[in-house]
Amino acid sequence: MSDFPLLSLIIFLPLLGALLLLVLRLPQKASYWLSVVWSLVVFVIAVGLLLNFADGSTSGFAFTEKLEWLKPLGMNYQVAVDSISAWLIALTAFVSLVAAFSAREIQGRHNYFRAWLLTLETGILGVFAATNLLNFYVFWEVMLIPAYFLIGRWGITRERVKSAIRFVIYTLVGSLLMLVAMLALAFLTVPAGGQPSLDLLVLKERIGGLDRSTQEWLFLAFAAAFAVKVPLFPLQAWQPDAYAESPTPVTIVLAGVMSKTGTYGFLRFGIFLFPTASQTFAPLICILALASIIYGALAALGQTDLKRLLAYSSLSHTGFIVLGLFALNNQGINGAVLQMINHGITTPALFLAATALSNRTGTTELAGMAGLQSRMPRLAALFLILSLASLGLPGLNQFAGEFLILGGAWQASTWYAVIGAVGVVLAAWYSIRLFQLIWHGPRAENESPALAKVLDMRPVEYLVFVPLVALIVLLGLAPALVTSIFDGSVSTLLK
Amino acid sequence: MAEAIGLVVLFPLLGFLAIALLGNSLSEKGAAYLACAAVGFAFLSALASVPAVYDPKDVFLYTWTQAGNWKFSFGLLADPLSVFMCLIVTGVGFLIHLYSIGYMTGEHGEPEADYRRFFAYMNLFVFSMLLLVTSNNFIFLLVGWAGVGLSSFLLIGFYKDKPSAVKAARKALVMNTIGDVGLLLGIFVIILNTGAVNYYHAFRGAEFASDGGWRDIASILLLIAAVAKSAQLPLHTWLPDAMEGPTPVSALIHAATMVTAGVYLITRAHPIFAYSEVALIAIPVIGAASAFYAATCAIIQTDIKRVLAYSTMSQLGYMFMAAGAGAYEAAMFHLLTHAFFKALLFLSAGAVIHAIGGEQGIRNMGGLGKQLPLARWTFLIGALAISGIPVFSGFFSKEAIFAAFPLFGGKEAQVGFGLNETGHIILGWVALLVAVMTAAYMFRLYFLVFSGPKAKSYQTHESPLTMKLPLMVLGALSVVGGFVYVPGAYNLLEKWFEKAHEYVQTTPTRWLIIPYETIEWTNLIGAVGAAIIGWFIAYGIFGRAERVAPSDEVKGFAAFLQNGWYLDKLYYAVVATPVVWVSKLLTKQADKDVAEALDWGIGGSLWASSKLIRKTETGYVRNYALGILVGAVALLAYVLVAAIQR
Repeated sequence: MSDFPLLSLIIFLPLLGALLLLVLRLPQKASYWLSVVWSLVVFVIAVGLLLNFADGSTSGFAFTEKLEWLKPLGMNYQVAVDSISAWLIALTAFVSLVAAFSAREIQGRHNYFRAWLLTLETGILGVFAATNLLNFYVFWEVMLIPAYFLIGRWGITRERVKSAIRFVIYTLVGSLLMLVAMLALAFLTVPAGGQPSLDLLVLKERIGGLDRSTQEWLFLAFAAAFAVKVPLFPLQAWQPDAYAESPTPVTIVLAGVMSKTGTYGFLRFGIFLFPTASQTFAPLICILALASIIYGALAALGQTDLKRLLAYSSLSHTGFIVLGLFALNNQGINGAVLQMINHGITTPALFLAATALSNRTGTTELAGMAGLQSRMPRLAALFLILSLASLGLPGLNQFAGEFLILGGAWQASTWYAVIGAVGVVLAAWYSIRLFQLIWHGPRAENESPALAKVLDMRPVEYLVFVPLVALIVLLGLAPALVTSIFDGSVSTLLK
Repeated sequence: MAEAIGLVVLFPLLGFLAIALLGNSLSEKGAAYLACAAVGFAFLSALASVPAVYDPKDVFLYTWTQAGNWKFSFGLLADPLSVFMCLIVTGVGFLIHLYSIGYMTGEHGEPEADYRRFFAYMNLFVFSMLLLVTSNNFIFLLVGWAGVGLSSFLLIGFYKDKPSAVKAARKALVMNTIGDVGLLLGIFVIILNTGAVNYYHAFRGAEFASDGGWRDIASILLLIAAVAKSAQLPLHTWLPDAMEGPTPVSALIHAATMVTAGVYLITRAHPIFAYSEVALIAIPVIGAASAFYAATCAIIQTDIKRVLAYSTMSQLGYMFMAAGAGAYEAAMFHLLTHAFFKALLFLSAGAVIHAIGGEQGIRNMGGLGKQLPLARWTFLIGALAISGIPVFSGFFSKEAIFAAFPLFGGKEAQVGFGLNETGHIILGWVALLVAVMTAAYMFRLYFLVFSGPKAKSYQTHESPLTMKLPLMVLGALSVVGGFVYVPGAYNLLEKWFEKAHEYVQTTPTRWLIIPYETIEWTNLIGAVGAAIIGWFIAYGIFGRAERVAPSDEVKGFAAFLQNGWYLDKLYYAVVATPVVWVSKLLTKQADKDVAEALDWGIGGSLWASSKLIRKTETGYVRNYALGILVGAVALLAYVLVAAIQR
């Protein structure tokens, strides 16, 4: 069993599914069910992988697979997971499943759409599993192509191509800098008479040999790529458009898991690989994270469009994750990893609920909605729970993450936690404003006539939202279910 | 039986979940009865857990989170303080639930809109408060704390189509979140200095901490939370607006749940507060200032519920004073009697409002005593109790508080530091002045509503039994509820709270016991005299036939008082408006595609200065990005070539 390439199976299964879709050219319904079942299988295997770590005793890499490719350059295919990446892989499979499930009716070439979505999943899974730098880079770029097409071709308005191009330019600039840094790192760390290596663990051993300023420059190049992907202030301009333009299944993958590739990168290829440089730049990155938190929250407070508001709220929340990471202590990083998972559950749920709502109202403009609670009390209740989770209500999942993040930040500097706390208050403000604008108050005068016979939640919607809400409550009441599993890995990583 | 405390919390939770999940399959009356039963059974369970008062312990533990050396567990604590609070919350809460059955029913016996939703929220409210008081650690205290804030948001905004209710609800939530955040940060200070969030371990850790300076910071942060929740200065502005909710909600917020949480927190965390000089000065001063401020505002309000709202703030000020002076027992005592008479006052006011079709303005009332005899008598009992007239419950609890602030000195700072003798004297006189004002505004309200000429004639209708019964029970409790302590005779609270401080501390405690052996005649005469003076003032102006009519349109100083010293307007101008302005600005910029330019730093300033740039701005950024791209590729090529040449 130990020789069985389980990890590669998980990574490439979605790609295989994508190829299958392209070859079979199924009609809408059949292709929908194929992609759902396919994603479900991937998810089940990913959970199986995660269960191997369930007792929390494994703190290093496991399931290592290695194929030699370009030996002189140290470029290998090499994947492995620890309990942190195992969680993120399970999360990716979960969010992709939700995305596939919600992609019921696709306008235009639906087989291509679902194929790209599955390819995107392979890219993200690969990023979380790669332990060879070049390997990591390849998966990193694999994410870009499907994302570009998904936004550019299936985007909602005519602005979609512009959004897609902007997304690509931002990402490419960051990732090319990272590529340069990777190669430089490989060659600069070659020991006398040795071979260059791109193996993460080998480089971790060798990095101490570099002088400090070289380490810092290399770290910054890596950080640029990750900061774009998260995104971190001031590199967020691609994000609101990309999130708002994308069709919902794409948005939830972008916001739910692709943003986590950036935070994961910071953790694995920033903090772990460059411990010294991380120390040096931690204050800077924490300040940028705080700027993301506050900027995102303030921008969300003024939005008049539902999806854009959620996009800015996501910016604010990913800022918390980065803040936790660069607190550089057990609590902060534990909280950050926990929050990656929490945010990966809450944000897709919010975007799905927003879509469920806008499909009924026919608009995402908040001005056209008001006083809808009596029309759709159940959807309103769902929206309330999700808003509360998002604003970090103690007892729900995001609070557990924020608690550890701010606790870690407080130890790094009291001011980080205090400013972060201002972000928490602003989050309560904009979330409640959003909730009330839609559901409370007198009915809007320009209300869409479609609302007259609108229906409350349908059974198929319960199928998606009940598990999401259950997770939100469960992880709020017992976050130890998650943190106890990767706690050991975090300690190992910080050593 | 300590485990019964679990049932206390569980019943309202189950009630809430059942009503919320069953939805329309539960009849409206069924939902109401279920909600009442849930709180009723919680009360019985609280009675069953009374033995834990003499044998406190933590029950139901599981690991909540684990991160490095932070490993925290959830658990419930059955001890004198938690059982005491549970009895008040479920007892008074049950009566308010019962009352709501009738109150939320229209004139012709038809349930109001969203009847089920109302009862679901009420149970959620009670559940949150119970979690708050029974948690054995600061984290789940915060969970309950935020749950209470959430429930109040839901209930204040219950009339969801009314813009003023929506706004009031949002204000309550945001201001409460400020408190939540204070508590959160305070928890970090406690964790980092004691290594625990569990009360027992945290307080033991605090006791043996070598450097106590952190207690000041922790106290200030916790105090922010307490002040926000208990509507003390300066985070009080949500409370008067919270009147937008239905009257039973106001009763619940003001009497049984929510606002008492701040006093509870200070009492619960007394091993931290009592060792912080900053806290020992700040708490009583904030309390006295709030008591005075609220009394000045109450005296001129023209909405029956707003008078009562400000009076709550004022009475909580008394509790803060007591708690700040180390007289935690007196604070809890006043919390108990206040729960009785404030619930009574709100429910009597509710009976009036209900009977005359929702009118709340007192200028439209007057002479209602004959038509509404029960409401009149119960309101009178409440007014006598809150004013501190002897034998009524408020008399004893106020007496206990005044005992901590002797009017002519003779009392050094109780714990060696904190307020000095002069400070105690000054606050004592402020408390006395507030007592005069309390009697004055309560009897002003009583005379204007129940006696004198009628402003309008109403077709009043009889209150249903579900409304009458709670009024009678609370009326009785407001009369006899104070007899747990009688000056010169006995003090039952001392025995009850014995373990509250012994449980957590080994060194001599700073928990002051209400002295009962001797009677402090100066204080006693002063307090009773103050109440009588207040009554005379009210009678002189409002009680006689040719009385002064209240007016909504006041000017000058009166307007200043009626608008709460314009503090609300000040906060809007200084905090809310600028934030909204900035957010609008950000939105505008971001939406106009300028963020793109701003993000690159250079384009933004150019854009602001020139409209010409704006036309080419998109291309400009693209070119800029393209430049980086080309540069990166060139760099890449260079590295590769350099590597191969090696």
